[in-house]
Parts: sequence; C-alpha cells; structure tokens
Amino acid sequence: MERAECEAAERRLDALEKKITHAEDCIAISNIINRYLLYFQAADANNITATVDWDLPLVWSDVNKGRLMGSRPNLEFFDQRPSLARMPGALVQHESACKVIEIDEEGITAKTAEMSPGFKCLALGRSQVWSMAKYYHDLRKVNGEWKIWHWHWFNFIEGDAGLGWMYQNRSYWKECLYEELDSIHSKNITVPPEPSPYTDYFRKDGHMYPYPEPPAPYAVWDQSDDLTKTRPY
Amino acid sequence: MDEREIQLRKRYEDLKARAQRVSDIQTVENVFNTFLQYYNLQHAEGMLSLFALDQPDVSIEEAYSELFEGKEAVEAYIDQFRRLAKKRGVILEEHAVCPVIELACDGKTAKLVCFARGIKGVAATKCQTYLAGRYYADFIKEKDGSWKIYHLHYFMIFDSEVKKGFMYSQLTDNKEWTNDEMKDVFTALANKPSTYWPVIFNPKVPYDYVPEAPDPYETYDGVTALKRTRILQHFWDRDKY
Repeated sequence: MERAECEAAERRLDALEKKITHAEDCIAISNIINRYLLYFQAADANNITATVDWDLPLVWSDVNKGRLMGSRPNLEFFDQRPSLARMPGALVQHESACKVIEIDEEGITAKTAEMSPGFKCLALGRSQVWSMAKYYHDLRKVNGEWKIWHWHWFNFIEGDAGLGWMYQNRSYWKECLYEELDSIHSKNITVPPEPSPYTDYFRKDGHMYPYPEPPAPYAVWDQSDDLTKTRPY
Repeated sequence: MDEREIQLRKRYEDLKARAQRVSDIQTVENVFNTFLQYYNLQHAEGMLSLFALDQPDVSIEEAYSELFEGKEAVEAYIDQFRRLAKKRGVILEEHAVCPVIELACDGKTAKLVCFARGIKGVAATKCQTYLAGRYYADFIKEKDGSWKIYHLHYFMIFDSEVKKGFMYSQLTDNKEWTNDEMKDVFTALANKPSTYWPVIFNPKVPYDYVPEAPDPYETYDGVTALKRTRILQHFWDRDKY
C-alpha cells in the first residue's frame, strides 16, 4: 500500500473504531445500571456496591430523603440491605426503561435518564405499593470499565396497590411508623445527608415537574443534569 | 506486505471482532424480545422457531411447569399454546425489563437475566392478575450464525389478583387452567423434575432471589440460573472510606 492509501485507511478505521466504541459503551452502561437494579431487588449489598466506583471524586446519591455526599454515607446506606433481605415480606423492585444515554466526546463520562416503574412490599408495615419514578445517573469509565458515579431517584408515586395513587400516595409516611422499616434508610449513617435540592410527588392539588429531562449531548462533563429544566412554561 | 499494512489489517480484524460482539449482544436481546412477543400472541410456530431444537438438551421451564428437555418435549410444551390460542377471553403478557446479557468470550453462547413484568387474564375463570418474575436464558449461536434460545427458565415472584395486590393474593394452584373450559390446554407432561420449584412471594418469610445477573464468562459452563453469590453481610473498606 502507498503511504497515502495507508493514511486514508487509518482515518477510516479511526472513524469506525469511534462508532464501535460508542456502541460498546452504550451496552456496558445499560448493563451496569440493569445489574445494579437486579442486585438492588435482592438487597445484595456487596454486588450493589460493586457497580459504583467509590474512589471517584464526590460520589453522591439522592433518593428523595436527603443527598448523601461522598462514599462513606452511601456505603453505610447499603449496610442496611442485608437486614432488608432477612425481613419477612420485603420486596422492592425499581426498573429502568426507556434509557436515554449520552456519552461525552472523549468517552469518559456519561449521563442517563430513565423511567423507573416498580413496586414495593413491606409486610411488617402492611405496605404494598406500585411506584412510578425516574432515575438520573452520571457514570464514568475507569480503566476501561463503566461505573456508576452519581444517582438520583425521583419518586413521584408510591400508591397503595389496592387503592391506587390518586387515593393513597407516599407509602414512606406509613413506614415511618415502624422503627424497623424507617431505619432501613438511615440507621448507622454517620455523615448526615444534605437537604435534597428537589423533592416533590404526584398530588391531586398541585403541579410537579417529573425530572429528569433526557440529557442533551455534551462535549465535556461539567455538572450533573438531574435538575436541568428546559421546559419554558 | 509491509509492516504498516500488516498492522492496519490486524486492526481491521480486531474492529470486526468487536463489531461482531456488539451485533451478537443486540441480536440476543432481539431474539428474547421476539420470543416474548410471540408468547403474547400465543404463536407456537414463532416461539418454536427461536429455540435451538437441534441441541439435545434444549429446554424450557416456566414456574410450575417442571422441566421440558429435548426437542420433542419443548415442542410439546409450546404446542399447548396452539390450544390456548383458541380459547376466548385469554390474555398473557410478559415483558423483559433490565436485561443483563453476557456474551461468552468465545462468542458462541450468551446468558441473559432480566426482570419480567406482565398481566394475565382468563375470563373463563374470572382470573385477572399482575405478574412479576425473572427470566434466565442461555443462547447458542448456530452454524449459520443465527442465535437461538438454548435454555429458558421463568422464575415467578408473584401472580396476584388485581384488586387485592401482591401482599394479600397469590395464585399458586393453577386453578385458572383447570376448569372444564380450560383443562384441555396445559396437558403436556414434563420429562424431568423441576430444577427450582417456584418460591412465591410470601409476606411472612424473607424472599429468595434467583437467578442473579450472569457474570462475564469465557466459555459455556452449563446452566447457572441457580448460582448464588449473595452474602447477607456488607463488606467494604471502612478505614479507607
């Protein structure tokens, strides 16, 4: 091959590799989020926490009960999962559907927004609910492997499975009456959460904004887009 | 061929192999979703076309069905849906959510685990239920390059009456299929015992979760649906973090 031919072939292979890498990254990002949710349902603390890179700068999570900043309080949060796994009649499922995945130009970070229907049963609190929520994730590629970095679960409906969300929403109020259930979220967390910048839920008498929006394409990660709001009305 | 050309050709072959893996993973997901669509349609020919019937240990096991192994057994199991399709007032829908797919490093097989959610309606027995479970499936790449379902196992979590909810209601007796109108549908007999008799969600006991998400693997190592890695203790470096 002539030198010019080689250079043209290299350019074509570069372009091809970029597309293949993007497809591989989208599959890997889907895989790690889905894996997290399968382990989450099983209250499998060690496998859940293996999906997050705890060495990343300022890992945080927000599940509508305060924002846990840094690795320690988040790892402490999952310390409670084994007791949930041993609890009679405990069943929690969050799903991830309609994933929108945006990866930066260098393929180092990603943002996702997802629909998250689910259900929960905490028989000790006589609580059985259908839930409707959304997830926002930031992820980072470390040593060729995608890991979760930030996650925000926006839960709009936890409506009684027999009554429906129009008539009974926010099952957490019910759980708060039971120490054993309430402590699932907070027991042993030594770093108090910061206030959530946003909490809202479906109400018959008000408007809510069902964050997050699908992430827009971006070149370099500079902030989480969990609370980006572009709807102008 | 000079050194640069050799390098270019090698790079091209590497990229081709990577693209093939991406394509295989997408194809496996597509095959599985196609199966679920045919299942909803009670389309027996469609479902059968997706199974690796030439594999002697091809199998299907769904909740209480026990294990149907081998071509004839799988055909007999699926054949029941021809009869079901002729009944009035029946709807069966299961959809896959959160699939975790691992393609073997050798590219010859793949494993899939996902949540399954759905609904069931059987008018003859006034049954309307919500369904939740998990699917485990092995896939195998045939000689012609097509992907087929090798082993399929549906694990049921709940099958609960719409008006009562999953804390108060579980259908565990298959009664909806046993009245006069429906009893000629599910008559096929499994040829092997269940590998995992369904553990239905029960509000009085802790729940047992299988199958787990598959781990990456080199080459096919048998059905791993019942592999358990969950430990009910959380280990992490408390000094470091």
